[in-house]
Amino acid sequence: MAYFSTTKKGEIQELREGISSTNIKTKKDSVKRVIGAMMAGTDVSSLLPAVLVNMQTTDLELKKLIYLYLVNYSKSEPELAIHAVNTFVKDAEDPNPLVRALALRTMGQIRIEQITEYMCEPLHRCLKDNDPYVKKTAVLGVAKMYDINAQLVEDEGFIEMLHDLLGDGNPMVVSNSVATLAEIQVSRPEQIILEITSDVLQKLVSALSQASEWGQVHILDALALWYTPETSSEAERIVERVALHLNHNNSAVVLSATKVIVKLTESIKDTAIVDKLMKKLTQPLVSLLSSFPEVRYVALRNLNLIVQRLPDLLVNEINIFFCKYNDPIYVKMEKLEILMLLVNEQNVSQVLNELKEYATEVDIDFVRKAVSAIGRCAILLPGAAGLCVDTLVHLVETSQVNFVIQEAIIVIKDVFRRYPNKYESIIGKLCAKLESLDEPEAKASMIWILGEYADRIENADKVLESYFLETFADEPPVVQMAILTASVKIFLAIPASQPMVQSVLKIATKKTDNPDLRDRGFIYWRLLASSKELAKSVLKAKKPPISAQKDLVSKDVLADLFPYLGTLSSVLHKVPEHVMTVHRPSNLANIPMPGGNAPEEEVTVGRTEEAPQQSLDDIKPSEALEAQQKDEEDLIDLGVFGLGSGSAPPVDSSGLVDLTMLASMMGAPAPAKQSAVDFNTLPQLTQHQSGVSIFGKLIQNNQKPALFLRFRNASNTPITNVDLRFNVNAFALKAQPANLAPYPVQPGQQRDVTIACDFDPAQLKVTGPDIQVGIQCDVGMVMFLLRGKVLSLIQHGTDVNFGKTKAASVKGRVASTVVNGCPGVNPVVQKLVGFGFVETNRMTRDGIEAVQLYGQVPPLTGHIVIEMMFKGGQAHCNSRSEPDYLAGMLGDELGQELP
Amino acid sequence: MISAILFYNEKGEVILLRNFRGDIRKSTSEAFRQKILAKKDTKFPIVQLGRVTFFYIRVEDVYIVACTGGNCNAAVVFESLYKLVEVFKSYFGGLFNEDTIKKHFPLMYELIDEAFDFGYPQNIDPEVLKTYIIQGKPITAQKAQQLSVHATGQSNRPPDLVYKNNEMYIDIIEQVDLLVSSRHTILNAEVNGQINLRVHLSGQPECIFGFNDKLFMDKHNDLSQRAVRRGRGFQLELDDIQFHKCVKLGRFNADRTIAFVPPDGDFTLMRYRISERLVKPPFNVNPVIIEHTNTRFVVQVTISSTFNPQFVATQVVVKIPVPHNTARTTCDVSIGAAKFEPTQHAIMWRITNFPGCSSTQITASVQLLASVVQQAPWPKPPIAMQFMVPMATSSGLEVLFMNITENKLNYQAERFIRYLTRGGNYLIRYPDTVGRNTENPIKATKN
Repeated sequence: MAYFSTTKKGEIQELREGISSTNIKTKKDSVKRVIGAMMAGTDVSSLLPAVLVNMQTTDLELKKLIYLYLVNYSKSEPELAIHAVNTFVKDAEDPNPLVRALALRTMGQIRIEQITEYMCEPLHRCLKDNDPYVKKTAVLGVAKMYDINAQLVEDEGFIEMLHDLLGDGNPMVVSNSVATLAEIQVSRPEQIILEITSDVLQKLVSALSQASEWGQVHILDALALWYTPETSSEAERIVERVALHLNHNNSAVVLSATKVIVKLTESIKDTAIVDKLMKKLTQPLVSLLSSFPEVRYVALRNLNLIVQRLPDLLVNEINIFFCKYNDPIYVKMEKLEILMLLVNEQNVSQVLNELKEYATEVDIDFVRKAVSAIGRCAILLPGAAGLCVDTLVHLVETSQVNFVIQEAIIVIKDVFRRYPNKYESIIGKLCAKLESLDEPEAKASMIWILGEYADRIENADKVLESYFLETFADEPPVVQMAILTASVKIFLAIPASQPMVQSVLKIATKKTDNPDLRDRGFIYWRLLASSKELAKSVLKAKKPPISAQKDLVSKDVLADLFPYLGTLSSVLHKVPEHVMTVHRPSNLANIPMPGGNAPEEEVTVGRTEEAPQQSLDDIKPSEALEAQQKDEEDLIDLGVFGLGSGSAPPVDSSGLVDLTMLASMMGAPAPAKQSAVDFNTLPQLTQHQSGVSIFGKLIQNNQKPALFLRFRNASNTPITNVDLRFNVNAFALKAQPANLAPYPVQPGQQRDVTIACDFDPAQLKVTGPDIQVGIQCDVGMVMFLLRGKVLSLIQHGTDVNFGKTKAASVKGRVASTVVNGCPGVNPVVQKLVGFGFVETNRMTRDGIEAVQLYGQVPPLTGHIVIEMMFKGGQAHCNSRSEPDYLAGMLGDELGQELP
Repeated sequence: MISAILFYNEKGEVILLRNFRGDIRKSTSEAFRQKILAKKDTKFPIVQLGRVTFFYIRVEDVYIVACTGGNCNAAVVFESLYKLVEVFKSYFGGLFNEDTIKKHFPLMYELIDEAFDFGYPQNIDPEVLKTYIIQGKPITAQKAQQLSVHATGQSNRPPDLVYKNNEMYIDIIEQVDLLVSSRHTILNAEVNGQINLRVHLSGQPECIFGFNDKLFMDKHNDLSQRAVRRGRGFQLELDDIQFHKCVKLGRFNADRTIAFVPPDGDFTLMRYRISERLVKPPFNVNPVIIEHTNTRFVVQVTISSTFNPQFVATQVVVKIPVPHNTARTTCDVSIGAAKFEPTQHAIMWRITNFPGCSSTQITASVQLLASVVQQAPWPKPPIAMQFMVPMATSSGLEVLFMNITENKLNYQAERFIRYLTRGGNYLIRYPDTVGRNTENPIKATKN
């Protein structure tokens, strides 16, 4: 039977006849073909009336097919779907439990509010049905209803009914009830929905042994999140039951059992019992690695967390993390990460042999990671550093693969940083490979070594000159920076190299468009001009120590993640609140800001890797966009990501700091007046090829939105005329004309301008949080994206009572954020009131303070409600708004503003 | 939990889609096709595009993708997708590919709807599903009432089963994984075993299964005495055991007794794992490379079997990788046949029967194409070996007893036991050191 055959002319008619046939087999086949056509994308909605007529059939198979069809078209033809309601309600009373359950299940899938209302009555009845199959289906019916109309579920008392069903005799009814309650709980953290009292605990534990593997996971997950034992003996009792499930052959059960056990052991006082439990964990965790590759990947990501928290558990099992030749690449990469966590002085030689083996494999990323791992071993284990360095040198000398040599040199540089003045004897061997370097990072590393050890290398100046100087102007910025610094260091060590350093400084300051390079060039030049000793103290300053363990999860986050073992957030190593929000390159924040006197010494071991999951900007699945156009948009979004997102690239701001530092050091007047806005956090918006850079952000000026801009003019033309325009944006903002005329920004100067903004309804278009800005000025056209701020739009002076009434009526999708490092309730509220919010409600329960705030945005006829709960240094913020999109944007802003 | 399950074919077309929560749109599936399937180099089985997370596996020519918008349990997602494939295969005669999807899609919808409700896995056990998802056979209300206890997992067995011949087939299958380093030390050796049952028993039988488990025999002295009399008395220590859910874990924990009421049909009673400390690999493989010139070298691989001479290994295949620029090889073997297969970049040496406690050798001379261009060095993939040893377990596991009691019907059930050991990831790395132009490599190494 070819259900997928193409629709020929008249086929719809043919199908219609088939459906109306009296022969049940013909009928069934026709409906199957209709569904086939539907799946292939053909519009067969015109057959809906003909299909509906057959709904009351007694043939279960045909009924299922018709229901399937109905669910698919209910969205587009809600009127017709409502006609089907009576049949559903009737079927929900059928003597056959399979039919009852089917009707109920299908009703829940038709996501139309009216149908949901009709569902209440059958749902009430079926939740008390004698048949467990119907009951377990009804339980999930509640979850479906909650997804469409949460209020209805509460009004009808379904949540209480689910509580009762936690004690049901059928394990699947219990586990589905747990799953449903857990889902509701997660969606409204401010209320206690699923409380695990000792009574509930008893019910869950007794259902645990009988439940299906999936049911066990639901129960264990709930225990991990919401159960805290009261006494040590209670914990022992529960843990004993849970530990049985470590022998399950479903990896999800094992992981969930593991997290419950780890959590409960915190409450057990008897250390002997804890030790015994921990021993029990090891082997089941090892067994996870014999599963399917994808499961293995999930297991490894979780083991990574487990090893970070409980390093002793698997340290004797290091062999299982050795890569097999035919492991998929993602498994190999994860194994390598865990090897790095487990390596110690005892097993390092074994690990090194493995790493050496991997360095001969084919996959480039894996090989590089393996080579880099050898260096990490050296940095981690002082006792084994010599062995590791020997291995690296061996690779550099013998490997015929270019990237192996380069990776080795990159990591050797870090080894030098870690153990200064210890292994310079190998420099000669590295120099022999100079010609094979073609990657910027490898070059920069080699040049750094040359500069750093200039006094030990006889002809460092000659080497630098002959290999790198000729191409200086064409090198990528990172190499240029390295050459610049190295040449100055070499000059300090070998005074005879003065002509070289002069020519480098000349190129850097005169012939380059890169302001960072130029700034650094000027600094060095003036440093050298003022005093050689001063230059030495800056360039040869003590460097901050480096560490080899990257990508480690912080202790707090680790504790937060542990109850979520097995879930997506444990795979991504992100707390659940961050899993679903748009990702930003968080590693920017982790890079230590280089000290002002050694700007180039910013080293993290290995390269900042791509996160395993692509962190793309929100692709907005709700908008059916043309494929091609979509791609381009994403590209644009990605391209400006780092610029518009609010954190300045570290190199840049350090450049700025240097400039002011230098100015004060030389006793020269500062190039521009210090402004009220924090210097370091002002993001760079764009940089024109002429040398004009623009920094700035949206601020509030006299309680009105305004654009604060800083022009830094490194071009040769003064900037006098500025014409600034906003594209249509989500905030309906429009810039007022700006005028710089009386005080143009002269070359080499910078100036701050505040541009007032208006609201203009004609400017409104729901896009992202970014506003496209175009500036036409003397050097040409500059375009950039500006991150808009919902907070700057809130109107001041809202009446509290108005806020209270309005706050209750604001609906819309809830956006959740967690803000870490909150100063406390009052400072946060004060801060938000400063933005124009009013406090509408406050309560304290179980030591958790909750606050509700309301703000209005008249230009957008918008209303925003923020509900916050404070716990420790964390604030959980749930915001909702009209229009919807404001809340989503607000979440990100709160994360930046509140700490 | 899971918001939708999609099935893509190799071209990236959606051939089947089941939406559980209505929050997955066409543009989402399109985004996945463009961003992930179209790019062959994606390296992770979990990807996030915007707010949607995709989990995907590949089976034959089909990608099965689960989408979610929340923080769902990743282990559950993958485990359930693989179980789902198992269900399909069991319904479609062991096959699952694009064609079977197109042929059986109405049934697939039915199965997916039973397996998942609102994205939560419900019942993904083929044997249970087969009791009430039957094509072309109506189920009466009465029958359905009886079934629902079974379908919700409260009881393992459908009610009122009757077989004319009560039989149980017990298959013990062990897979040996081995990784030998280039210095000829064992890095990792592991036996992954599973005990599969095929149960054709009437009523509600209660079974007790026993094997030569050291911990069990310590606790049941009488039984072990009997076992010593019957068998070789070898006592086995397992690293880890995982059971089917029908096994009463409390009882196992108390006195290591494996007691259960089996489901009907095929299932895996237990899986177990034994690591290198106790495993003797069934084959020792010893490769030597002697390089004569830049374009010619000789590989010598000696294989010796270590298992009992009463067993014979069958279907032995040794894959000896050679460089990509290999022109031709000449192989010299005493048993079996060896052939250079250019598509595999390897010499495949096939031996139909390999008796225990014996040894054999291949000497292959490899001629490379001379090339002016400096080639990347040959990464030397490891030698891989496949084999089957029927009637033997490499761990030494032996079934001691399988007691079947059915109180009401009181029948005698036939039991059939089979053992099989097979090679899994049996990998031996080439040695680091390459003998150069030595006439007699064996002497050279001895010195």
